[in-house]
Amino acid sequence: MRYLLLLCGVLSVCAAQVWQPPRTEMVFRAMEQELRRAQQNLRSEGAPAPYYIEYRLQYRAALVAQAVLGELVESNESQRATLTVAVRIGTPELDNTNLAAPSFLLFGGASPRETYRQRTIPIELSDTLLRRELWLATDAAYKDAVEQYGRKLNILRSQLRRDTTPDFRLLPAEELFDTLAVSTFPRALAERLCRELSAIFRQYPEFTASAVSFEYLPTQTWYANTEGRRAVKTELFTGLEVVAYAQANDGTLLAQYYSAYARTPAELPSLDSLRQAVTEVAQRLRAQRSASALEETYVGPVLFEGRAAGELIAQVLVPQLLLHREPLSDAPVFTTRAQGLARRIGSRILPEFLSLRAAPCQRWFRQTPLVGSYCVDDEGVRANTVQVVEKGVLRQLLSTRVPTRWLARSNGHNRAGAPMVGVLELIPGEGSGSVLERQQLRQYFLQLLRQRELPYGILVRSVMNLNIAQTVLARASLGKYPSFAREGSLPIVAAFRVYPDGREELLQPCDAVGITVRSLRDILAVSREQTPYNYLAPAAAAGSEVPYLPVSIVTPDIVLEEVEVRPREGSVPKPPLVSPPFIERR
Amino acid sequence: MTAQTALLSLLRQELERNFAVLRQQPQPAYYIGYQVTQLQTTVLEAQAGKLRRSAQQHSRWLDVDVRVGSYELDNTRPLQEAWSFVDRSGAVQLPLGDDAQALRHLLWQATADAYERAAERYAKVIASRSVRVQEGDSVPDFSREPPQRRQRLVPPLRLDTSLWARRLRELSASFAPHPWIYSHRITLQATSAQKFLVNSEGTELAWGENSIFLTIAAQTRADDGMELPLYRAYFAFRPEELPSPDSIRADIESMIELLRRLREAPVLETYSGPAILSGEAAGVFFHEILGHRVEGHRQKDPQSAQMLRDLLGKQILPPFLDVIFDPTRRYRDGIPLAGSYEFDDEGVPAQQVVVVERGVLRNFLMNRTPIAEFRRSNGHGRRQPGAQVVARQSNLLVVAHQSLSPQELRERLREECRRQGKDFGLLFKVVEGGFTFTTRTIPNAFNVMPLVVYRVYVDGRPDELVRGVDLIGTPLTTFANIIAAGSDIGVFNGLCGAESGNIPVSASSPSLLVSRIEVQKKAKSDERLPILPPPSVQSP
Repeated sequence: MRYLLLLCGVLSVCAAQVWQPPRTEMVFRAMEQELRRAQQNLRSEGAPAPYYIEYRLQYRAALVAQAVLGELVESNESQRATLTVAVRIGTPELDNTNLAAPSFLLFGGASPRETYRQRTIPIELSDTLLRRELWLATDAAYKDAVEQYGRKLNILRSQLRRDTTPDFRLLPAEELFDTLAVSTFPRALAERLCRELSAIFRQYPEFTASAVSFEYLPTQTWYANTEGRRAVKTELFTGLEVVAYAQANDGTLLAQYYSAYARTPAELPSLDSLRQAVTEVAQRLRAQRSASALEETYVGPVLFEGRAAGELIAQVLVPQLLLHREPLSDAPVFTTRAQGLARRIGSRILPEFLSLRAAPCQRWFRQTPLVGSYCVDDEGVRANTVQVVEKGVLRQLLSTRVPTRWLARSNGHNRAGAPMVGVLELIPGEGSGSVLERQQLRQYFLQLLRQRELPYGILVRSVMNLNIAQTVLARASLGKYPSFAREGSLPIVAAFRVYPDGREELLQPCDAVGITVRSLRDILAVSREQTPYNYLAPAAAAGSEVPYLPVSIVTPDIVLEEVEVRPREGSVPKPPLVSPPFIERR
Repeated sequence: MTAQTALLSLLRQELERNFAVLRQQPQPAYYIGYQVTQLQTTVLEAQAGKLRRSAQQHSRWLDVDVRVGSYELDNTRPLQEAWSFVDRSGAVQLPLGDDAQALRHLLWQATADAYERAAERYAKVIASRSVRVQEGDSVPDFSREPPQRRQRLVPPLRLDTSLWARRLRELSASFAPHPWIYSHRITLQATSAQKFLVNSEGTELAWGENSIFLTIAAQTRADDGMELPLYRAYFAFRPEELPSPDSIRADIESMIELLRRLREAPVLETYSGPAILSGEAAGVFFHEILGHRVEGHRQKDPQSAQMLRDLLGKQILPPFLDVIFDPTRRYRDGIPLAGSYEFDDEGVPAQQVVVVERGVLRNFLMNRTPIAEFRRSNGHGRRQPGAQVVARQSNLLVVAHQSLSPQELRERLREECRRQGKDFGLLFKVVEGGFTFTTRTIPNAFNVMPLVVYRVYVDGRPDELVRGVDLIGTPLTTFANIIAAGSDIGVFNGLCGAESGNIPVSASSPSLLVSRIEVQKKAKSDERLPILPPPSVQSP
């Protein structure tokens, strides 16, 4: 990417992205005035006054570009400011929160109440305008709080509360700043990068679709609450996503992808590396069109290498590490958010030679930026390093300021309103015979095949990422490529048959089924060398206000003892009757 | 070769290449159409003197229409299944440049996808014919139209965005001193659409549609929780046609004053009796009640009530009224009309259609979906990119052959009130829009949502502003109750949403006197006003 920046220096005509966040002094002055006013006077007749109010204002600039076969299809810039307000009434022992209270609006109905979560507000702000927005959003949040509190007291009239953990715990005032200078990125360069990389696919006319997309999203967040807690932070996110989609000769739907995420565009891999990565995607897809499929279900050891091991941890383990509180409800159907591994704290969930650490404030892993990193979370709490698993035993989960019976305090993992991993490192223990150099791990895997008299084993180099499948790949394939994996199923897009003599043979896509967090106890061995993996994690399912959040995982290669790998079955669409245009022209 | 000619020729090449194969299949494609819509959109939005949003987008969309079977019977034949007529495949986003390889590859991919869906649906149509009673079986599914070849692109709009951003900031600042107006925004949306259409029948068209909507929305709330919104929309083909900032400012001031009065206005109880609909309100009224029921494709849809079909050639309105749909007309009384276009989205030239002549129902709005009575399109097939074309409205014009001055019309209202023993009649001045049901399973009623309504007293007291009602009724009864028209003309420009997406339309009419209308209470929120006073009126 250095090449691109240099080019911009030469071409001074590059127009820079717009980045004009409001001034911090103005934001805090307005927030403090409205916090004070609301705390002193906001009270509805017969209802308690708020005992806690928090404000979160976010300003984000977005630069987005996408190209197909060397031509730009999209290039946009935008800015957005959003405001989120939370109000608590009652007491920290028992307040309006931790209540599952679904509300249904009938056809044509719309809530007349102002929005107060992710409320879009003007991108240009003045003190008066921001105070008006805070006033209306606080009013709405308070009215909702009063109604929720009433419902909660009502439920408690007829139900015994088994979980008597307080609803909240107040903290002392603190000021945290984690700001960075934001350098904007010229749109022309983003466009050029997409064009250049996507042009590689012009050499592969047999593919049904391909796309390269780029986004750069600098974000500034201001946080203030009635405890006197203040925080300002800058978060930078750059994403480059590449997808290619084709049908095998037998009609099987095939897709390959590559993603590189960083904080700034300058931190992305060099242009040469990106070109090489895109070429590998294309070559693998071409090879897969004539690759053989698994004839029957494979049951045996599987080696997950590099980024595939990251995606394994992302899909199987990450959602289980988030500490949710079971909300009070009179409709049990709404209380079933997964409790993750909370009930297994103190039990062994990984082999003894593995530990797991959440280190949200860690910015780099060797030369790779970790995009999930942050040092102040979205409740203005310092991000703590957490020893999640120690020598295989689960010690702690990732929490927000919502106390639970397992953990009363936050360890700084509130991201957009819900718990979420930032940076997670799976650490191989020193001195264990199950932690091997990468080459030795492969030899161990082959040895295992021979011991078990298996004709071959499965090596996984790429697992489909759900965000990629649901966004850029879904668009490029016109919705043809399946965007949801079946429950408990890991969609493998680059699996290799490995023979005991070490030969490798690329397979058509297949699914690893039945892998759960329990399967990770049966990790047989890992590599000493770790690979950083950045990705966008589905966050809405964990209760977040946004659909995806950047997360970083650092993991060794992993050998799982026994995995069931199935070929893709069922009908597939017929390949197009007309051949693609370039093939004909050749 | 110009860029547009090059694009048309590229569309033609890929279309012919695909058609040559797909027409030979056991389920043969007999028609392929490619429509490319190139959009340049600028959106500016301001609130209280500051910019709320600013976006400029350039995009190019492809819609592929593949028809499998024959003109007589094809995959689009309506079936008795939920959403059978609606095929929202979504448009494919095309490259902005003119590289042949990139464009043709995407055209190929989209064609393959469209053919697959069409062939699958055609199989369902054939299967359904063998087991179900067919309605209107002898009517073909697609009309034969002469191919059109023309290139008439108009230059895209040139908008000085910094000037307009400054102007919107200044205009929106007028709302700032009124904290009891809880939300407001002024939005400018300028769109240059360049459309290209090529089909397997030989049509090759390129044309342009420029539009600018400037809308002002403001909302307050009465003490009883009732939401009180007001809107004002200006439409223009060019920035110079928009009203001057001074004139817009004056309109904003009168909106603010009207909102203030609405907060204090009494709530109107249920009423049934005479009323005047202002020209703008009458336009919306006709758009909802008549317009959606004369959309031709509904006459073929087995789920549609088709209530006007048997009334062709019969009197449905008083003999002094015509209702005309005219996309070729760009202005009425000097006011630009949003439903204007040169070709429809099936490449058929826009045409004036007299739907009601001297009160007699004469015609329907037709796209290329024929019905027994009308076998050809009259240029009303429209869509938003990504949706399937259906018959839609354009510029609705209500024309009165005899009219009364506004004063005479009010006097007629009072006379009618006296005759019915009413103390007052109603004047519907401004309406927000409305909705209507045209299916068989839901009663065929309409609901028009008024924003500004006055009581006009028989005894000559000043008009009294009231709030809180919706105008409701059933179409044919309401038509029969129109007794006079005014000499003034009101124009409503807006977006109409239906099966084929949001499309710009206009509705214009003289004021109309209706002998009996019904109103019902508006659905009202019980939300209280904000508990604290606004920050600007309290010292920090």
